[in-house]
Amino acid sequence: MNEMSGPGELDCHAVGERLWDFVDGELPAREMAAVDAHLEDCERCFPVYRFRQAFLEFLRCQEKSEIPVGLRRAIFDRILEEHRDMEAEAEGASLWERLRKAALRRIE
Amino acid sequence: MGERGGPPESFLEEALPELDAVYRLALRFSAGDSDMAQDIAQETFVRALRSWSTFRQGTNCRAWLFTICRNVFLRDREVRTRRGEQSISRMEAEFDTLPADPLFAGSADDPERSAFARITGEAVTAAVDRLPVEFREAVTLCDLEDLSYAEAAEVIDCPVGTVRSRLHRGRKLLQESLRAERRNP
Repeated sequence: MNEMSGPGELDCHAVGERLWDFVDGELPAREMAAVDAHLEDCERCFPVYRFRQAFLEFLRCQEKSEIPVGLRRAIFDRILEEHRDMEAEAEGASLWERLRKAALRRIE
Repeated sequence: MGERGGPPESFLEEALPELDAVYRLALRFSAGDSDMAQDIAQETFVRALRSWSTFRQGTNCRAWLFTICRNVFLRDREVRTRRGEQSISRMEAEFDTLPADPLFAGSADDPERSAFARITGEAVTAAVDRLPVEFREAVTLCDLEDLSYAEAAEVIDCPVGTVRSRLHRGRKLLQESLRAERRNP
């Protein structure tokens, strides 16, 4: 990596570019270790890392929106209705196929 | 398909429990419009039932439903835009001109906890809903619904790198919005 200041070391700019990926655990193992090592000693980057981590924790702990009253029932009713339509279509297709075959036999 | 008299058992067991998550996603896609979100959620489950035979058992059902939900939202948005019912939000129109902040500007000054102490849940939701849709969906999928970059990329049907850049940009915009909220509640 070009931003290495020593074997396995990253500078602040390189860490800054990787910090979100680091917080998300989405870096390759070697880069995770390199960022981790940098954060242990860097008074500039560590507070930024802690802030971003706290920000994501804050977002994730927000209360989930409540599903409106009646929507669960409405969706289930719609699913049942759709299932009946699909069965009717299948029966219709089956009937159509039988009529088609009967017509072909008469022609032959 | 399943037995007569009802949808497949597997659909009821795997897809229906994701109803709350699908509604939440639809709500964020529609920027808090509950009526639109309910329509999108209903249509999502109808389409999911119709294409249930294509779902590979044992894979991530939530992500599969999220993909359908997104497609329903995009189609609905296209129809509404054509009808002139939907205008691009001011933030969407301006997002290309938003300056990129220096990497560490502002964040190092805030002690972690007090940075968010006065921000309400409603303010967070409203701030997410104000994001341009590309950033809003990345933040919603990864930060609110806990999908990985790869899972979100499958839902959005784009490269992982695109998810990454939209997510990081979305978070930056969200932070700016919430910082302004904290100063002017």
